[in-house]
Amino acid sequence: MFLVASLIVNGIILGLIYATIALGFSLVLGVSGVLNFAHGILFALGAYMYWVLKDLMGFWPAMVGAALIVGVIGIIVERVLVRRIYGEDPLFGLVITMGFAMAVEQVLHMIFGAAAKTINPPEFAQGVLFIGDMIIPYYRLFVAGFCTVILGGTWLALNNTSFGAIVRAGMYDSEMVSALGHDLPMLRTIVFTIGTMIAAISGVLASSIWSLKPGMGAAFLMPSFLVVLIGGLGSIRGTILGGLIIGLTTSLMSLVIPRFVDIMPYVIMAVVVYFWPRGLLGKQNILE
Amino acid sequence: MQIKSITRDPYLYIFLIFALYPFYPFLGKFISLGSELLLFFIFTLSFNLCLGYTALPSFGHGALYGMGTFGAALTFLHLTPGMGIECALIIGGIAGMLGAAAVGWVIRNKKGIYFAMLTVAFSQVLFGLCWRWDEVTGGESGLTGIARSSFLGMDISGSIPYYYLCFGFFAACAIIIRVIAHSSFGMTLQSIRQNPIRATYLGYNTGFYKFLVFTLSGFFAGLAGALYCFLAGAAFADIFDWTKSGDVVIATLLGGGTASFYGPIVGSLIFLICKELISAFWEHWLLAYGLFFVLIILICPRGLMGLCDRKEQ
Amino acid sequence: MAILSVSNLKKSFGSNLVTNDICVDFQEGELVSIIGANGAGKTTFFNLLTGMIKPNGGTVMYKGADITGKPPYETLKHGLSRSFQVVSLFEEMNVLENISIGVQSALGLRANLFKNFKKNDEIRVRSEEILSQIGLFDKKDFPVGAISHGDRKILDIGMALSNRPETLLLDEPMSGLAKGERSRITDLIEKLRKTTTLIIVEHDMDVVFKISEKILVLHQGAVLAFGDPEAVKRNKKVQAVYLKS
Repeated sequence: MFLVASLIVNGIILGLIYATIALGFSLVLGVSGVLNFAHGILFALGAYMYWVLKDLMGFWPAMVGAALIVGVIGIIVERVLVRRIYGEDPLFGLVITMGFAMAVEQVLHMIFGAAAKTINPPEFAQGVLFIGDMIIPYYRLFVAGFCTVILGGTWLALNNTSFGAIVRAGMYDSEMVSALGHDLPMLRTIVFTIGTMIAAISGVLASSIWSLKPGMGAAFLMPSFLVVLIGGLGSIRGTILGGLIIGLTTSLMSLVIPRFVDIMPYVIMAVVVYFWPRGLLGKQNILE
Repeated sequence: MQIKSITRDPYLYIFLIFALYPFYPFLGKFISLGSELLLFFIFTLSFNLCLGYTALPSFGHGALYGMGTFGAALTFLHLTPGMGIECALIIGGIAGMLGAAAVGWVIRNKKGIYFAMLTVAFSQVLFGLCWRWDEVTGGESGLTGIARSSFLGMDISGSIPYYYLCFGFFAACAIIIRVIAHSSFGMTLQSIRQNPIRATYLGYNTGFYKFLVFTLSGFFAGLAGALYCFLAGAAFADIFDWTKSGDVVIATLLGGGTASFYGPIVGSLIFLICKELISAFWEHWLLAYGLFFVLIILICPRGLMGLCDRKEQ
Repeated sequence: MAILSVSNLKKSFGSNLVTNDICVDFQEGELVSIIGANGAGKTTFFNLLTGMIKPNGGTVMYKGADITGKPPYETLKHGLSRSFQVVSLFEEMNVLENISIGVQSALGLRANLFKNFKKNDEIRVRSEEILSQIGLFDKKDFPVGAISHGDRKILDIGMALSNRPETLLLDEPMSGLAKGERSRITDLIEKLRKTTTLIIVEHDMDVVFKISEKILVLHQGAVLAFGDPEAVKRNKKVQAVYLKS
């Protein structure tokens, strides 16, 4: 019983992390129509930047520093690479961002080596919480809380600010954004940068749960894909729902069929795509 | 007239160049590289039916190739051990075709980016399945010890005979794919690429034809994969990795598959030789590999052949 | 019996009701024009008839068969074809090939893997027949980007003829054309009306009142008037909202 409960709690925490990672991916896809394969490597860069900075300045400043550095990298990537392929064949965006991701992954390899690095959670979140037989590290609770803040904050910003209204309009019809006199290229740069910074922050948060490896970006890219396909584009609630579904499936299925745990989310995705072509909560968007 | 049209046919020169490959100085020593090139040509030509002719952005074609490899390997090891490889090759092709049909049916009406995402996702399923289901696929260690023996009674265990078997398959597939590209069906595909809405109004159920071409392409990809399993003498799970799908996309784009029928062959040739050379001498060759992707899109997204001609007449 | 019968057809995009309870019967062999201000729902009406978009309610019957919401490639089989307001061609092909795509479909060769398209005489002969009929035979080898706008409009209609439809919907066949070129389209329409039921969306009132047997006036997604040109002209409601402006 406690086992199931603890799997559920873990699944929810995992789901919130997945949703947060997928958030930036989904925003960029929605507003710019680009399948950003570099999202994973930007997440990994966030984690590595944090590893470099944390001993110099402590947890919070290092997190902000990592987010800023990776945010600047994001601006450069968008301006130099991604901008060229707006409106082109979707494979172009996929290939160029994937090439960038592979190159950066090798650079991480060369600088930091292939060996995995582990990072201890920050001091204020060490230790574990016991509920009966259930053990939950405080750090995971902290991460879950932090992810909730990011997701909720983005949701509020999208729904209650004028900038959010422009972003939502951009997801619905990017032509409309330019027609209304807004600067579409600028909007795309800003959304890409925000997405990148959220990815970097998720990288910082994830680095103390899983270990640091150059390949960690690629490993977290696929869940973002699935979150978007299951939850649907253009809806933050969809992203959260998609994240939770994947988190809970991965967690609970380890009880039933441990070997094929990584395949289950794909099976769910296939079913969802077949019956809900836009994803569970997807809205009409620019990709249709 | 007849002779003139034959001597103008680019296939004649491609076939001539590769017919003599084993006898070239230096290159002739890398005979399995030659076979690999030929198989990759089949693979890219099949892929180009999807990308170049129908504008289907499939990013999971490596998985279809992999299904061919494992289909053939499993057939050869369990159903026809010690016998010729004919049966295994056919089953490899059919495996690729069935895989493509299953996926294609689900995603046939999806547009651009969704199609690309779903093909990526489905190829990841196979990667995971192949990795975990080790009783069947050998998991991490793969399936090894696939010693090819004969094809239709001919001994093909040597590398030169096998090269010529691959050459024969390449020639046959290349001609068939060209016939298809120039057929009514090929024209159907082009009309769907150029204006899907008008095609619908002219009686074309576009989703169905996308499904058909994806399935057909799966057969050729599977066949290439099956031939590869006997070339390598093994089947490993990493064949389902992205890089295989990435290879075929980039080779096709490099050659200008969206603009030219023969482009993908030229692109594959340049791409594979560069890849072999760099990866042989540099540990971090993936860095160059990644940058190569970026540069191609930045410099010539329509590919090398796209620079000189439009869709070949 | 009506060849095409529409009842209670409704369509809304979000909270925007663009087609509101349209009921109308088209008789075989008639030439009906549809008029109405921009945004009256004329193109949406065509899209609904041909199954490009699915209605929220109502039915479309063609010769007694229910074709409501069936996709365009199905409605075409029933004999319903259309042209486009903004010409919709295969831009990388030449004039002959554009027609041939439709002819090949009509001949059921869509999925033929081995018959060479260019060397297929059956397709070529029938395509050339259509080109002669619409007067574009001389230009059959021109890329479609190299012919005039008037020719492109005519080619667009020609493509819709390739399946020998019984009923043809023409969406603003004269939009963007100079006076001189319009007569080519009216000539073509006069030729077509002998064999085909025609439903035409058009803004040129002189032409509409000259050629039509019946006129359907749409206003804000609903039928304002339907009848012969004289009756429509006299209709008070039509005069109030449309003709006087």
